[in-house]
Amino acid sequence: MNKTKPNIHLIILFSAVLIALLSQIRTIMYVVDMITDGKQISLLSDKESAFILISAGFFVNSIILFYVIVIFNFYLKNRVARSNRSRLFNVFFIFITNIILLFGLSALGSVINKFYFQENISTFIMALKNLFVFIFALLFAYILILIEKIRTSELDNARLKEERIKAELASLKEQISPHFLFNTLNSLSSVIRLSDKNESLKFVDKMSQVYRYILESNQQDLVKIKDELEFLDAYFFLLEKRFGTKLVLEMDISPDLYETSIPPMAMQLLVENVIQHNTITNSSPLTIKIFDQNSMIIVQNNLQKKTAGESFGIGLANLMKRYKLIAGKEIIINNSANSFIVKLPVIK
Amino acid sequence: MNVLIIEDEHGAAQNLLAILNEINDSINTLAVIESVRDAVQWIKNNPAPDAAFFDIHLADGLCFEIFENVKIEFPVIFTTAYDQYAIKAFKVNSIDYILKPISRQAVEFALDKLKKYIIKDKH
Repeated sequence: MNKTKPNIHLIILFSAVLIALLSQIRTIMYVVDMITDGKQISLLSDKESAFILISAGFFVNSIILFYVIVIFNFYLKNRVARSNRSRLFNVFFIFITNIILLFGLSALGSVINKFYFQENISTFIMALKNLFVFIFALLFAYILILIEKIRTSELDNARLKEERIKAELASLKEQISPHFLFNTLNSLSSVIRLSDKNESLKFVDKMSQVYRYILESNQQDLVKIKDELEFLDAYFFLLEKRFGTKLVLEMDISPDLYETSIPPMAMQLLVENVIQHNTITNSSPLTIKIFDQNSMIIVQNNLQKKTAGESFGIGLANLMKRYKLIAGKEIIINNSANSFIVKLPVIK
Repeated sequence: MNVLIIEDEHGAAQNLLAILNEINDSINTLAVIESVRDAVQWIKNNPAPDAAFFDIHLADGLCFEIFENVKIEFPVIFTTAYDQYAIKAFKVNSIDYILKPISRQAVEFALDKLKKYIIKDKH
């Protein structure tokens, strides 16, 4: 970033000189004609020399105006965009400050003309003549802003990719860890010992479904709610076999949202967080509710924190980052005395 | 033989009970406990069992917290999906450390060890 900034200044300065030359093209042509005709400078009439001097004044003024306007708009835009004021106010503010700059610099130009080139030109006429350079400067500044925007969006894409890979790694680590895999296999042993063949086969089926989804969905940024729910269903089946009746899972998502999207395994991650951080016993069962409200998926549980509370997962922080990068949206977390609620906006 | 089971997952408890039943139906399970808090209470209020199976990750914390809160004077067989607690388990009354999924052979092996070294000493 630091390396590119001096370059930007050089480019702006170069363009300023170019535009300033262009704005005085008539005078330049005149001088070139004069030189090719072999006319001596000392032979110029008063009128002719005044004409050239005014042009020189404008030339200097144009460079300053162009440079200041570009820099001002280019940096101001970022500043203003970060402020909390309304859009209308911002546009008005930028407009007014630009006009003030135009007249201020034109006034400076008329002073320069007076002292260095001994020509009297009013600020208003100066501003009028500067209009051409002024418009070019604005155009140039907004082109720079556009380029900057494209560059940051490329950067965002790279960051998104990185976050996705991190999430993928984290979920693979978590899901294919001894913790989840062996506990699940242990409850499969119990199903084989105590239930009939069909129940065991069903377990194997659901387990395969869960692992296939983990491996496949992680390569995507977004999945359909419909697919995520199907996966959650299989995941819940495994959890129910592990925890029995002390874990209650209630799911009620409106079919209207089935075709909308969320980041893969977002709901599963929240369910897993809830299970990891809360006490689950027969005397105090854990209830997890998943439902929708105003196009938000809500995961809610009764809070019964473990005494030895591990810090709240990297998973959730990661999910927040992914949400911001993918959709520019925020996850809402409501932590009250007896319940924990996370709201996930769906992405249309 | 009287055993105590500390296990918070329903499926895992069922599995262990079924295995114990297969091995020897004279094994009597005194209780299945899900949390550190309940385990401490139970151990305080009941005579020591001949042995106990301790899952490590319990409903409200790690089973090592039980050792901090009550004196345990019976051999413990750990059952867990994690292998990183083996050294910690070795320092408390551990007779074996069984990894999940639990097999019948692993439980039998642990019970044999128990009979050979511990229960024999008592009588």
